[in-house]
Amino acid sequence: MNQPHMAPSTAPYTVMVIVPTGVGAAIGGYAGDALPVVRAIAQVADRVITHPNVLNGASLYWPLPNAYYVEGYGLDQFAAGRWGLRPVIQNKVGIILDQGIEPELRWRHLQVADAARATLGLPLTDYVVTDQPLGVELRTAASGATWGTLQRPDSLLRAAETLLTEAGAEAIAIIARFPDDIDSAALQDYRHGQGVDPLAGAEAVISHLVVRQFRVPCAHAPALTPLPLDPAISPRSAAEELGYTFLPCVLAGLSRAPQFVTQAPAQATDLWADQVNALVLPATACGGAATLSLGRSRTQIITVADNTTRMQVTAAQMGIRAIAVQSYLEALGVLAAHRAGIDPAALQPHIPTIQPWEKAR
Amino acid sequence: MNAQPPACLTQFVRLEVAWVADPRAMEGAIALALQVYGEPLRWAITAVDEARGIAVLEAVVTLSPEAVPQGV
Repeated sequence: MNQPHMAPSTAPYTVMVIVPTGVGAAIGGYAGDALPVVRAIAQVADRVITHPNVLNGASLYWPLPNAYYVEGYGLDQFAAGRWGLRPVIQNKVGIILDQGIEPELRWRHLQVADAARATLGLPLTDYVVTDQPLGVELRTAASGATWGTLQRPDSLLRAAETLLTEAGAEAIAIIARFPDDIDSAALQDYRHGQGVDPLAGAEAVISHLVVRQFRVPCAHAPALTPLPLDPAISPRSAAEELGYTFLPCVLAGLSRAPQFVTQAPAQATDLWADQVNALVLPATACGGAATLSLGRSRTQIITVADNTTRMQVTAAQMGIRAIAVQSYLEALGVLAAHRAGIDPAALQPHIPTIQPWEKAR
Repeated sequence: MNAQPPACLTQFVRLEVAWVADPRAMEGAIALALQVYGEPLRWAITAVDEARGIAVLEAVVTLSPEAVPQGV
């Protein structure tokens, strides 16, 4: 008998993917090397929400029509239910260049901007150079996570305000001059696919400052002097060896990044935290703000053991009920089952007999 | 040359907070602990010492230049 045509009876299946920045994640801790994970998840989900360092591979990126490119501070606010996400057709991206960038390196970045306009057709505003060198300094915490400071955050915020209020920008790409004299052992490890990204934590601080202040999409690309050829570069880090800048992926991501909404009037396409069906993250990195927020909601948390990090916080230690899997391949199976309304336990060979309910059994 | 002072400073903070295996309680403890230091920009629990009942919190906060606490 023919089945009558059935309209979809379920809401769009929405998955958030987090790989915390600057914590040495084995998958995603290098040059956009969690992008294959997100590409795969985008095939079993209607919508995938993730953050720039998951999707950014310097000159490499992959436009995913169902992916939401959300900066980390905004992601935390979204997960807490304070901000919503509003899809856009496009954003006009404004570029901030650190005054500390040397002329030749500045030209390299401006040529990326022109290439993005001419070759990808991206709408950009004119750019702004900060009125002071930003003064990026890199640090490593006792946990092994990296972070950093700016000597002049005020200069960064003034430049962003100019782009947003005068130049008509709807999203902000920041290019800050990062120190070339980063610890050589840490840099060597990173290029060889080991250790913690020495730049990533500072990058997060920079973009968080702008998103917290202005509530617009934002991402960062560090400006660095090109490094000498090293034949032993890890495939996970190789995307950052391809060109003079890390900017192309940032411009591509920001051009379609959702805007943040904080109040009515609502639109039907707005997305809020209570619409997130599942969160996938490394098993040892469950102590972040977004995870604690979603961990007390109906969102299904899925932790991946293979993606080791320098963090040492499990879902159980945070009181979060999670499905623990070994690999992202296994996580994909759990997501497919979850989306279909199937208890993943039903796919195991042994299923315990149903029991009468007992309090605190 | 712009001579304005910085509008804010970014500061790293590492603290121990009471550990409870409850995400809502942890969020509350973290917010309370960080408000002494400034406005949180980024934070995470990085480790838990179950025997001592503490969680290690690492954070970056912003604060106005005149509000930099001693010994942070």
